[in-house]
Amino acid sequence: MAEIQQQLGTAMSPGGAAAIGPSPGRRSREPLNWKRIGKRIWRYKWIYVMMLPTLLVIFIFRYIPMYGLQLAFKNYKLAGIAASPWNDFAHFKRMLGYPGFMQALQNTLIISMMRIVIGFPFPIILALMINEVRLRRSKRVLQTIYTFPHFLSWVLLAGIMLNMFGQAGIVRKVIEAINPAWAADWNLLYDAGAYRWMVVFSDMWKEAGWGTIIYLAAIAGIDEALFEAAAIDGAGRGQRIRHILLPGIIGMIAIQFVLRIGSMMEGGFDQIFNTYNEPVYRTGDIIDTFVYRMTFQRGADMGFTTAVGLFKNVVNFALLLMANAITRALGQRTLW
Amino acid sequence: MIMRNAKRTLAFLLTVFLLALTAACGGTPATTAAPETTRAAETTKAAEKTEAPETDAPETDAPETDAPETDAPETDAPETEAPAAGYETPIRVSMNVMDAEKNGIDARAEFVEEKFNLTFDYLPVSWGDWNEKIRTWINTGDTPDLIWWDLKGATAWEYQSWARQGAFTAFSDEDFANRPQLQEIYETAESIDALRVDGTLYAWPSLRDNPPEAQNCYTSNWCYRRDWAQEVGLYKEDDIYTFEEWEELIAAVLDAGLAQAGLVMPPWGFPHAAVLFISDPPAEGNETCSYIIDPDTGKYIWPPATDAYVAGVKKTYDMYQAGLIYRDNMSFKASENQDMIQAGQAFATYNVTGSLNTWTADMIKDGTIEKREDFGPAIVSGIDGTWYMTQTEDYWTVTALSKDIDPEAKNRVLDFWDWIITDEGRMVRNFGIEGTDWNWADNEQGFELLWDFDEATKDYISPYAETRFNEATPAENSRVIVPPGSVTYQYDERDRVWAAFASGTPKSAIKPFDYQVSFLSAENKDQFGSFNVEAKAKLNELIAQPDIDIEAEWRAWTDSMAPDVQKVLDELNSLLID
Repeated sequence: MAEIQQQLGTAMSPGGAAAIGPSPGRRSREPLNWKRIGKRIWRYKWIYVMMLPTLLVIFIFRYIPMYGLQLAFKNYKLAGIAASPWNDFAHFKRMLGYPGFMQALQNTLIISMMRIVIGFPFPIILALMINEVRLRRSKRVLQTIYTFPHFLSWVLLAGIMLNMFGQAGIVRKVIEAINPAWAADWNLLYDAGAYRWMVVFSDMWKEAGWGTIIYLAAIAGIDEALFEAAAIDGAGRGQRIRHILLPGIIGMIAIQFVLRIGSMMEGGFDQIFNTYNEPVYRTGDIIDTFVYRMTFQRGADMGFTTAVGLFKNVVNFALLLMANAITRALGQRTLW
Repeated sequence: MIMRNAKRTLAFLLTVFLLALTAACGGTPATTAAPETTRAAETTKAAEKTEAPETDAPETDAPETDAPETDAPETDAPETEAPAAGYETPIRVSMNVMDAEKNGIDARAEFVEEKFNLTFDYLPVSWGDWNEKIRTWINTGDTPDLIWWDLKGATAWEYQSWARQGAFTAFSDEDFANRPQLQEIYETAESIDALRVDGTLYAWPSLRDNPPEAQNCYTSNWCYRRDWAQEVGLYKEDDIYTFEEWEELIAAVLDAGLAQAGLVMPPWGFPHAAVLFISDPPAEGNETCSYIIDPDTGKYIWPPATDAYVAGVKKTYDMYQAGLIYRDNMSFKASENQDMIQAGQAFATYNVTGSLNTWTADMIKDGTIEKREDFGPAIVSGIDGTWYMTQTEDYWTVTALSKDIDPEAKNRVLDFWDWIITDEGRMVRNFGIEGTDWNWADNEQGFELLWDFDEATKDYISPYAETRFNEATPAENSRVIVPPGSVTYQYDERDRVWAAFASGTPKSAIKPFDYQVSFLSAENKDQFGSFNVEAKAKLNELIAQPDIDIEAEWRAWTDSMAPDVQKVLDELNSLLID
């Protein structure tokens, strides 16, 4: 069991992210030594045994369903996937010409970009700010307050948003009290121009606190001695953040960034589905909601929606590869 | 050494535990039916409350008795005899139902189980997920034995496609030969022919309970706060309003601060109920088909591109922008319209005449109104001065049989369906067990009800959690039987509405239902449908935008849709007209 402790100890090394990907300059291109790998696996066999359930879940729910991807190239028949006839990329041709698809693709990319540009730095900044709070009790209270919204479902939050920003909502009432003319044209929930901003900011409000956890963990892994030495040398708070904190968590930021880029085609189904409505389709309908509507409300051929889903995931995968490569080229830690 | 073994043991146990968790994620194996009977899908009795109508299915007049629901789940089951001859083998079938958690737990279910040796497993559906679940079940080959379906014109092509692919067990003439109740429906119901696919019947219609004069229309009217109309001095005798009078009334109620919201609609009716459902020509998103024959040319046309429809769109826009239609209705997902009416926040909602007994009872209990008559139907003419009723299929829902259902199970179910629409069966469905819940009697109704009677609401208190006995719905939607001495408000009001319709005051007309178009399965129609979803989305998008030229925007959209629409129109005209 000492081996387990040793391995777990490695995984919990300062910075957390250190164990995720190879650090710069440590990459090796040695040929695989299967015998050595086998020995190592045997040595850490209990850890691998503990991994089994996870691998099993991934295999069952992530790999076996890939069999169904061939539906993207077939006209689905109830006789089964194998018995369904191939269709010469008909779904992809239809997809590219389908009126709602290009709009959904565009919305997905725009909303994801907005989330990255505006939303991605926010948990980092929040983590740095929380870290600077000196009173431990206050820090914990703040962390709890910021993290709590993560545990509210989007169904619930959609209701809260309606009650706040709707026709009879408190925000409109306040505005009406200030200037009735402004409230007369109140239309926030159904304003296509405002919808993306509402998506991004409500998501930040809900998830930023949760997002700080990983950065605070990374910060906690930085050697305290560095801060003490910097303080002795006369470094101010800003200098300590710039020269110790940020470099200490930059690996984690890089990993998070790569993962975020790799999910750019995910626009946040739960959030959009629960908050959007027809007037905001043109700015808020994303690929996932488009697929949902086509599959379950229009009763489209399963093959068509599989094609759209496959397209989305291929793009996601390509973006992930690209982001990982760029991050590596910049000398940061990567996923692999 | 001991420590090392302990850790190994712990790791092993942890692994086993995690594996067990993984296994727990798997589905429950299919429930086994009785020997050599049907393969029943897994039973789920998870609590899933029925939501208010959320799909495009309008509320109908039938599915309620006037007895309020209670939580009392069981009554004393009477002694029943051994299963009748031919029913020795127990049969277990699965079926999707509303309010699944309320089913199968009372003496009525026990009575049927013992009479027919037939047990039901329930799969829950709600208005919001009904069609989604049907699609998923059929596409994965994991259907219940009895597939109860809100089959409408928009989904008819799927039904036909699935029937041709062998998803269902067919009905044959022999199935009805010795079942007189079913035979009568089989021979007379208009939809039987429409439900045939290549000459074979795959779904059984649950007929509506509308009176003959309704001609399979549903009551296209508003229910509104009469007391508020009287308070603002704009109440019209007999509740008959022109569209202009109606607009004026809503505005007056809002101006007087009596209501927060003017018109609120169930999600399936928003915003079409405001103008388009009661105007000409037929609205999309409705049960009626969306292609109509132009009387001038005799060819099929697409209503959204017509002048009359554009006028309806423009009026809807004006009403929404003026706040007469509640703006947040756009975000309603379930029964918010009902909540707002019952809380006294909204003035009127669409098409709830069939539920007036329970709505008004709740409103009186909550102190929203003083008497039932404060909330009732308003008859509002369309913008062209005619009061339109929308005709629908002659059924409420249909039930198909799984391709895997055992022949013996099928026969048993048909026996049950045939019996449940006999006089005795209807009484069991509506009221429970003879001798325990009711007795035949020599009075006007022919029976007496033995339930407790609530003097305050003038209603009987049903001991059954599920008042209508969902398992019986497929046979037909069953006639409503009004118990002696109970409240008849909703039936009286409904009859009054139908009487007005029949009398021609105000001027009235029917938007006819076209089985031919609705049930046609053809390449372009199957691919594009009737553009209902697109038109509804576009209308919602446009009415929410202030200061636009709605007419120009709408026409620009219909023009942009014209190429695809024309493909369907050409197909319809070629297949059905030429």
